[in-house]
Amino acid sequence: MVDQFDNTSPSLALTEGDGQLMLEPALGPYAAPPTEAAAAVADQALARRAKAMACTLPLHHLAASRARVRDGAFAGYTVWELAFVAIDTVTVQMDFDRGAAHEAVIDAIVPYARAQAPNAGEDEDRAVAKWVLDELIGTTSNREFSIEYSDFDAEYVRRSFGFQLLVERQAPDGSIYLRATDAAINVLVGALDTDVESAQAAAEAKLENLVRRGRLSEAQYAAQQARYRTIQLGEQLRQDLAATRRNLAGVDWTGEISPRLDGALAHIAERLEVERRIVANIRATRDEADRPELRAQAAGLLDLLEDCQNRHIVLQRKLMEARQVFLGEQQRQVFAPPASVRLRDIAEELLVPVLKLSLAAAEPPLVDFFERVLGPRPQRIGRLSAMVRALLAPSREREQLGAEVVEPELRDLSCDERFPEGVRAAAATVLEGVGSQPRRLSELLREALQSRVAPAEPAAVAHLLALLVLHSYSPELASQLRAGDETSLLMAWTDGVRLELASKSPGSAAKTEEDHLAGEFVRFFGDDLLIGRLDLAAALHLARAEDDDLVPSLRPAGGAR
Amino acid sequence: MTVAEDTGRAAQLVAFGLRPKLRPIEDADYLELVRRYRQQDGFAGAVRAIADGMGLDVLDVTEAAGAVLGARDDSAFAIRLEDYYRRARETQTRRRVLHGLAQLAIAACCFPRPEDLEDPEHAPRVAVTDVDEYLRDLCRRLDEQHAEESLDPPADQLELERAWRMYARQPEATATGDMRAHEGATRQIVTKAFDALIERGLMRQVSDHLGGIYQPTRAYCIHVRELSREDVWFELDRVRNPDAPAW
Repeated sequence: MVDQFDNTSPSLALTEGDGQLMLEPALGPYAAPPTEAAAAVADQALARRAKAMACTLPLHHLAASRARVRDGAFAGYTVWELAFVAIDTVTVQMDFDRGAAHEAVIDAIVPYARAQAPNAGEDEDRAVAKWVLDELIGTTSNREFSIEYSDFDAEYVRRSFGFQLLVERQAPDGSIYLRATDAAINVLVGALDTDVESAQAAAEAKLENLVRRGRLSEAQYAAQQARYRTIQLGEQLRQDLAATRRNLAGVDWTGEISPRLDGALAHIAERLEVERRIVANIRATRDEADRPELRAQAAGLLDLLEDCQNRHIVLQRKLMEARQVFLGEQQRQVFAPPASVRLRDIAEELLVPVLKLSLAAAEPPLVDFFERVLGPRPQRIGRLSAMVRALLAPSREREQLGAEVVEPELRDLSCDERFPEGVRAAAATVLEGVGSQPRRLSELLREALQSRVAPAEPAAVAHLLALLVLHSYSPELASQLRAGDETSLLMAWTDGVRLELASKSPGSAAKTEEDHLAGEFVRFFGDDLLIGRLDLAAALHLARAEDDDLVPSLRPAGGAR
Repeated sequence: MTVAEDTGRAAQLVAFGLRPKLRPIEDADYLELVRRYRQQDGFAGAVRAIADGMGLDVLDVTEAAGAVLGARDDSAFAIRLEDYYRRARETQTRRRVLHGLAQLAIAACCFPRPEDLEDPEHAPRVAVTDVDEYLRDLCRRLDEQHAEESLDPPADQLELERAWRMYARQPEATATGDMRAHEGATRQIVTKAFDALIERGLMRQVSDHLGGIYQPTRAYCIHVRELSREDVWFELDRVRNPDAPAW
């Protein structure tokens, strides 16, 4: 039918109906032969336009009712501009998971409201912003708008179309945020019912053209449109990945998603290139431009383009990772043993078919599933005698002051130390004697075992001492330096000497004591560690004085100096 | 043991099965009866006969899940949707469909593939947000598939609205008014569905994150497996019958 309209040169055309040859242009006004296909196309377009129009109705409603709310206090505002600001704010903040918080949207609207009505005051500005936002979310219990429109397909039916502009979502932390629906984005960018990718390509081509002609404010508008399109692509990818994680069998990876990823990747590479070119052009334009307002405009556009590029790069990274998600899920899901009995696929064979049904048809099976999956519900069966007994039982007496308060038994919450205070002090005293000159563990142990610091038991002191020395074996110098701690510390190391009781000049009186010491010493074995105190501050000072490369191990990694 | 004693013991196992939150591991008597059911065919037959007389089917008896029973429609133990949600009366198709969809979607999220129902180690963790997002994603896919069709219901027959379109337009959460959770918000409905499962000992909550994270019990798996078995007929089969009138 369209072809016949376009045919300006006389030609022979075969009408479908009667097979008669007809010469065009026909005499008199042309009337297209009514075909069913043609009518359907026209009617679909009618319905589509009616619905597109419907998406703007909430804004008209806002404008129409502003004089009626709060005794006309909002009459001074142009509320649908404020509505656009709200939708813009939400759309721009929508990224891979989140949207905008209510307060952020209101904050974004207020400056515009203030400009519209400078004398109204801050409270009034916030009130109108909140009112506009609430109206965009919807105030009915289902938070949706609905209109009726006519469907001329086959027979005339009046249908109801429900839609939303801003929807509330819940974040993982329980807070509520807003997202713009596709309907809202379509209203906003004015591109109704168009293909995502081609629309972006068109927007970008337009932008380049505009930049060349120096019409920057329009270029800014086109760049904004391009950004909304990118946000939509990101949303689509996010949903694809979530579906893949749930069930691989439920998504058509090779047929649908993979080509989409390829397309999106190619698309983004192309966008990045185009935007780079535009940025270069605009830089040149900005530098060549004489008028200050043109220069400012170009600078604003550059910021916007930078944001576009960032978004493209984020999306590109997510796209690259997408295949990894697929491979990982394949390993997890596909290589599992198959079911032995034929079981239905709950999602594909039950949930999806039920979702496709009308509410009236879906109700019986859904209620049936609900009532069966919960299992049996045991009934409580009453018994008259039990009931009579319960009713006749004297009510429990309640004392005015309640039960007697039991004095709580309090206990000190001291740490349950393995070594008592005295032992710890004795061991510390021994270690304090260690200076920069290294000493052997066996010497220290002997000292500990011979210590006479009542009430500490020498064996326990020696045990703790051994543990403390072990603790200072190979200390984490680097982390201490990184934390900026330059106090001196004990350092233990081994030179391979076995731990043995060092013999002292045997005095006759000390003979029994030596035997006793030897008996205690049996409990310790291993290397006779060397232990010394490292003065970190001095060492660092030396290190700094030397060539930096000579003592790299002593240098703090993070610049804690 | 006399016949009467045996019958008494068999009935006791059915009674245990009617207390779904109780698990055999918590009660030595219960555990003994479960083992007897699995080892003695005669005893198992008696248990099934008693359950049958009460309008119950024995779906499975395992040491992990105990005796898992299913009530037939005519049973005194059958559950009604209205018992759970007073406001979901017969006349409120929209609300009843929402509650039913939430349960079906939870099952689909817990067991995305039929094999999962037979894997004894399959113990997924499912969040309220997972279920809601899953349903919304399905709705989006259906929207794409049916992009060419006119799906809006006649203005005077709103019950002919397609189920997915209704779900997609339900608010996910709401922050208006006094900040209480909105009854019709889908997250709230999914939470209620999980609560009902917990009350029946079919689910346990493992975390508060993401609106609540839950893990199904073995008993839940047995119930869902029963409902997804090809040879078990129930109302859902009408869904798959191509002759059923669409609308």
